[in-house]
Amino acid sequence: MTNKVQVVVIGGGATGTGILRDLALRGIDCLLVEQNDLATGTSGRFHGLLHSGARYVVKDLHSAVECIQENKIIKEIAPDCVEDTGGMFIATKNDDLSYVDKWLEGCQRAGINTQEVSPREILREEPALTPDIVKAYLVPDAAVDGFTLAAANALAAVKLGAQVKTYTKVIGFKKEKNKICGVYLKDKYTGQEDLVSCDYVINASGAWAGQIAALAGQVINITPDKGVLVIFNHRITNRVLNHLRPPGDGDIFVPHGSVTVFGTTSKMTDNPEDNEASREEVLALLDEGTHLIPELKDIRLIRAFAGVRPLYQPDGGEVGREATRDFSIIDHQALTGLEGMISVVGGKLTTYRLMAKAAVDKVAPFLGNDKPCITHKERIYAPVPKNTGKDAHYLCQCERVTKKMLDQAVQNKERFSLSDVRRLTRLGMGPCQGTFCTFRAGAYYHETRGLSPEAANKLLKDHIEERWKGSKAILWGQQAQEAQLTRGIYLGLLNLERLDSDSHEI
Amino acid sequence: MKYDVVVIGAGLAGFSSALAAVELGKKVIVVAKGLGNLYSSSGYIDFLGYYPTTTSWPVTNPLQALEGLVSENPEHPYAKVGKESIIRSVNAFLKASGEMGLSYAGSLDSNLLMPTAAGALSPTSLYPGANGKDVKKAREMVVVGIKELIDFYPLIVAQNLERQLGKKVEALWVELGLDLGRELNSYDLALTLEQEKNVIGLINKLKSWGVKDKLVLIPAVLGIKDWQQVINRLESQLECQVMEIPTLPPSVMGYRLAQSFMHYLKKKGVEFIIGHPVVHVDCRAGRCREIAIETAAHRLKKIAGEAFCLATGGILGEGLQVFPKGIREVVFNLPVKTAETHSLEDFFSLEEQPLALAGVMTNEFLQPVDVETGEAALTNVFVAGATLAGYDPFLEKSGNGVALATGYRAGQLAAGGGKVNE
Ligand SMILES: Cc1cc2nc3c(=O)[nH]c(=O)nc-3n(C[C@H](O)[C@H](O)[C@H](O)COP(=O)(O)OP(=O)(O)OC[C@H]3O[C@@H](n4cnc5c(N)ncnc54)[C@H](O)[C@@H]3O)c2cc1C
Ligand SMILES: Cc1cc2nc3c(=O)[nH]c(=O)nc-3n(C[C@H](O)[C@H](O)[C@H](O)COP(=O)(O)OP(=O)(O)OC[C@H]3O[C@@H](n4cnc5c(N)ncnc54)[C@H](O)[C@@H]3O)c2cc1C
Repeated sequence: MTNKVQVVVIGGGATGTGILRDLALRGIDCLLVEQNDLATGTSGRFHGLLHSGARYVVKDLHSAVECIQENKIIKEIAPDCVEDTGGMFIATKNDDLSYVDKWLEGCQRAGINTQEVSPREILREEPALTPDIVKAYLVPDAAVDGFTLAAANALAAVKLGAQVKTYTKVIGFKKEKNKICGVYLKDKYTGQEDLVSCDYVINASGAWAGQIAALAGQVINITPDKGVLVIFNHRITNRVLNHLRPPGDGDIFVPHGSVTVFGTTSKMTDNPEDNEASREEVLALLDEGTHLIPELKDIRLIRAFAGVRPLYQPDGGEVGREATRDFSIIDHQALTGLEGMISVVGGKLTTYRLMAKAAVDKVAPFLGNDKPCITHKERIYAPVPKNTGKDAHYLCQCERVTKKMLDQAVQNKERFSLSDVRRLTRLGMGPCQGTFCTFRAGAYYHETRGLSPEAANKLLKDHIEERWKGSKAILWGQQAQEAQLTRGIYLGLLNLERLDSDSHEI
Repeated sequence: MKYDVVVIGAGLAGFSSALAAVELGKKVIVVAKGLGNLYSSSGYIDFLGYYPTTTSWPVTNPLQALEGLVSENPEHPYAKVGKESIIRSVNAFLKASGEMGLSYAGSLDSNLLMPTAAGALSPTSLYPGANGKDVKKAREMVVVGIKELIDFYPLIVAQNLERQLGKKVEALWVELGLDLGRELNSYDLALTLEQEKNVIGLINKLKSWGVKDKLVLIPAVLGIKDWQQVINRLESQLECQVMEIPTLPPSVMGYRLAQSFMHYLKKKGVEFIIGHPVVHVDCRAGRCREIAIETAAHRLKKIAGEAFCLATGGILGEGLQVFPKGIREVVFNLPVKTAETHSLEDFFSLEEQPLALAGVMTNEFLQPVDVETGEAALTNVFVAGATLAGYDPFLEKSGNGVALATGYRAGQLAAGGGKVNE
């Protein structure tokens, strides 16, 4: 690696990778560092809704306008990452109908198309919905895959010469006088430390932005806000489902491939890594959800997790749901006189491209670059394209992952975990949650990548542990049964828990 | 229709109950919602592989270890039935397995270490027809994978075995050329190996590799019905020894045992109704008189009995239903011993999982008891298999062993007409 770049971007979420691509498209020499894999922060622990903006029209019209504009652009430039399901807003007989009028007016002002459908018609198309519907509207919501989006942005940037370092943590800054001139890095696997010199740093570390800023002696008022999400084992509805009422807990269902993501909640936390959901949180969420899907509690849950929103309050204002979903570019020079660093905070995944543009627009002039942003004009591509259907030999049947896709996912990678592979291919994300495909993928990589048997055993076991984390809080109903099957296979049948520890001298 | 013994559940525990009862000349019926877990499990009957569960030494002499367990852990199902009952169940099973044409070998005096599909060594007591084959004794070994099968990878098996056994183990892929346009699971592949031309194909592939005098480890897919003949042919034509390795579900080895056992019991006069859940029970004054199953057209079919064996397979078999708070026994609504938390932090922990330990508590006669008072809730119902509380089958490797031993004992007690006075 060259130890000098123009810009170092911190954070491999939607925002950071979006910034990297924007910089690269303007011909700026740049490096992205991410402490884990791409999209392992909030961009991989979110709802997966490419907002039409309709959710925000009543309270936050400005955000809503940004959403609908970006929604259209992302659908155009990143079709590999979007499933254009469409969305619907449903009001039931228990909801306040005066809100519906305000909402319709807001949609109109924001320029969001709505189409009313009769309760009967929507029930025919979406039979899982409550029969208590009084109003139903279609909006241009869609599902977006945050893993693929970050990977596609990074890939596009790398093709233009940008660099990406994953599993590399920023541990400090080098300053000269009152100017940032380098970033200290630490390799998570080897522990090796390194210095990269640069002209500028863009802090895009989301909920961690306060921590990064502190490393540079800066204070940013980030209020990490935790949201719990659960995954059901099938598509409950074909469209994104929103509850037509003021935004609250448990009011959005997003279909993704073969599953549905439902949530969420909003609770202040002091730790951006607070990403486990408790049984109580899940149960409260399910209670809410039955207003829209009466049979919800009979549907099998396969996973529960949480993400942390990087909410930003410039003046210590509102928190939680009242806080703005707008984003801000913090110019540390203007604030404290520190040169060579900005922080990009707040916002939503849907508006990542806009955030990236604003950030690069701010930085480029300092580097003597006056090229315009063109990120809305060129397509980006998933590093591992979906299987087009010719090859019907699946290693992961739930998500139709082929051996070829596994090969592509680890191309040019020295080290990887099955979780890294999962993020690029959806391996193990379907109804069986990796029970069958983990074994197959571990053994497949052992052979094709020439791994040692110890490394292969670890690859496999780590992934089962990781999947277990997401199911621990929801061990009831069919998921309790599935957990027993998984134990039956990995312990009862394969005896994997003893593989590297048993003493054999019989 | 009235029966002496009504067995609820068609897993190994239910079969074992029916065997014991029919041996005692009773009129027996087995009713079950579906097929049992043998179709997923290996087909080996593990009695006790690790004791205590946290040890890294596999049990060498299960009978001896069982003696310790029975005295140290009175809540364990093995302690409820005792050593003599366990031995009786093994003898009865070995005899029956010979008669059903599926000879099992092995004994409670020693565990054999069997290679798993991950290349670990797993201790087991009873195994089908593999007498005399032992990876520890074999001089030369080759692990064979079949390209069409999605669930078996010979290289990882070979390298893991090599590390543990300290001797060279080869790995080899063969392709049978059956392009069916999709990946095959073990059962699919075993079906294709029922065809003569595919068996010949396999033999020819192995011939060109040269496996003479070696122990050939191959996934358990060598046919469903005629597997013993297939193995004999491979062994005689290739002058080698052949040992099957159980695979991920669907398990062909387990399938063979389930099918043979059921046919055998039918021949002995046991009736079967499979495919309908028990939805209603008639219990009065501490005794069950009658159960009802729901048949296709939502009709109830009543089945009366002197005594009942409850072998509904726990959480996996759906005899126990888990709720966010609490666990329900589905047939009789019996008291269930549950744990506060459902799970441990780590999946691969060597501590017993709370959810596995949960289940129906019984007295020494396998009668369900009140968790608090210890009093029998029903006196002519005997509980067996995975529905029982107090053990983690996957960690200690005892699933099929507990099913066999408790099932046999439950069947014998039920055959006594539910009057327990031995
Ligand atoms: C529950 C929930 C649901 C949501 N649903 C939606 C939705 O449906 N639609 C939508 O548009 N938005 C949604 N959002 C908001 C959206 O997910 C976030 O705004 C967005 O993902 C933030 O992206 P980011 O790149 O800024 O942050 P992140 O994705 O969190 O990226 C920051 C990265 O910085 C890395 N990092 C931190 N410290 C260091 C360090 N020292 N060195 C190196 N790297 C470091 C982290 O590992 C992390 O990967 C949701 C948020 C939550 C919490
Ligand atoms: C993948 C896997 C691998 C395993 N490998 C091994 C191994 O290698 N060695 C080993 O010893 N053990 C192994 N086990 C464990 C072993 O299979 C089980 O512990 C054992 O089979 C349990 O037998 P059972 O008869 O109690 O229950 P099951 O086999 O589950 O049978 C339960 C029966 O009850 C029926 N039933 C349930 N509810 C009702 C109802 N309401 N009405 C009527 N019928 C009902 C079911 O349909 C079924 O027929 C393994 C388990 C798994 C999951």
